[in-house]
Amino acid sequence: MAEQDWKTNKRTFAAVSIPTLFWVIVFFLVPMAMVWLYSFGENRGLTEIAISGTLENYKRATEWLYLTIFGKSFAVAALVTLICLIVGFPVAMAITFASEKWRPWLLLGIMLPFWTNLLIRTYALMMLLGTQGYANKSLGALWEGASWLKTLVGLQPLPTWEPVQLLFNNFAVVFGLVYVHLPFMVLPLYAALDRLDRSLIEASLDLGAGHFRTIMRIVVPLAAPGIIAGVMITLIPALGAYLTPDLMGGTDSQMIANVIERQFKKANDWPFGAALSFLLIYAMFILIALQSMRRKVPEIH
Amino acid sequence: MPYTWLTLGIGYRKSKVKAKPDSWKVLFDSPEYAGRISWLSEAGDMFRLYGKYLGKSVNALTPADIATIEAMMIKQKPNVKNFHVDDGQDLLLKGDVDLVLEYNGDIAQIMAEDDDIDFIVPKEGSQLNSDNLCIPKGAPHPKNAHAFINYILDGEVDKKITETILYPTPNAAAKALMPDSYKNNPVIFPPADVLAKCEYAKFNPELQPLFEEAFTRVRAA
Repeated sequence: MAEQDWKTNKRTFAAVSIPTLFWVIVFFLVPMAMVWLYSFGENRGLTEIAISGTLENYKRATEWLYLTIFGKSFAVAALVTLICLIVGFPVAMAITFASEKWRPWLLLGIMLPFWTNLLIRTYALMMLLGTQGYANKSLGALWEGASWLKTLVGLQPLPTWEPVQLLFNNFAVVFGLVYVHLPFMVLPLYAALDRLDRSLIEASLDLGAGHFRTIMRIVVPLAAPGIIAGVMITLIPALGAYLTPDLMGGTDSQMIANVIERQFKKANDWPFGAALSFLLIYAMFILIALQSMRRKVPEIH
Repeated sequence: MPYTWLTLGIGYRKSKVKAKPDSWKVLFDSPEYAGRISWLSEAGDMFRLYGKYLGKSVNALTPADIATIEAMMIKQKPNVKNFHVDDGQDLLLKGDVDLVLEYNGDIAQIMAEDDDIDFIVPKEGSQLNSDNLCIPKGAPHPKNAHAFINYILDGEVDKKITETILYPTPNAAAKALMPDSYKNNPVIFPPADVLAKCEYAKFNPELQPLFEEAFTRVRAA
């Protein structure tokens, strides 16, 4: 079927796009515009905000303190995305090459965590990782076992088991975010890999390239759009995460979203929170713009 | 209308402390329990209680005091395990930490589950708060709001709420219906000499953003 230009069929296209446009304008653009206006305002009393056009909030938001928090949040989100990619790619490959019978079940397994709320999943993970949690209990049992084996062969027993600190540090934040965001990476990767022309892989293998080389030279370049989509869809929510660092982080694990949340709730400083939010939104715009510019580069064959 | 009131103090695991932690010092200014402490992630409460530890009124802090306290917090931070989001009682119950800055009612709830836990209002005094039911000016259905508040503050209804939340109730009719184990519980109703050292905290719109920014600096340090 030939692609239709919207200009030739204006009414149909209008009819189809009006509900979506309405939704985007009323529930996204209008509220965002209000927050944007707040970012140029100042507090007058407890609930009143005067839009005075001041740039004071942006000046405060670009102070070194907040820039370092932005920087740290980007670093954490980038690390989470990288780990998701490294872990998610083989998983997506495995699902793609699984038999017809197994594939829906494997996909279901990836989507299953979405059936439970993020907060519940985070608390479940905390149960697992705590000082008295199952991870520490299992490690402790293994340690005891090793100690017992050593005494059995006449060696000194191991020193007593000290629980590992798995929770309330930066490791826990990265672990928690990877756990939550992994499906976001696997699904676009799977979508890209599934469309891949298998004969190209066979050709590569026939022509003498090894498995690893085939993956790096054939599969990865062809799956690039899926990889980019997966990276964006993981990076952006990871950058805005506040629940995981709040619940699983230590004393130095705050991310920019935590700071923003506190401005709206505890500090009662909406204008400043709005300015911080918009700095984050601008940063994401730049990321997306960079990605779409990449797309326009003609592909090399 | 006040619905509950509350005070902040130290919830702790009795078998894991050498002596009763009867001073804010153990949480705020000492490496004694390094890595086993959890603070409340409420900037205002934290700064006011540090003020109490330094012998100041919770409502008379100045920007200079905030700077002093901020430096003390940064010094103590390596000894603190995390800043809990009002789930300190769970961390204490699960054994993740042994000392936690929490509200009395939350600790009273877990004391019913675990004998090894206790709560103390430090000797320097603490801060009092209350949860209130309010009707905003210009509310469209004030009659319904009044009916709801009357229902919640009804002796029998409030008794049922209080049985679960175990916070001190300001409702004399509900309190009269509660068992002695609640009425005479020193965690829920601290003795008069302890309360005499506590102060009711006022929200200060000028200082609140300063508290928050200083606490953000403490976290980033």
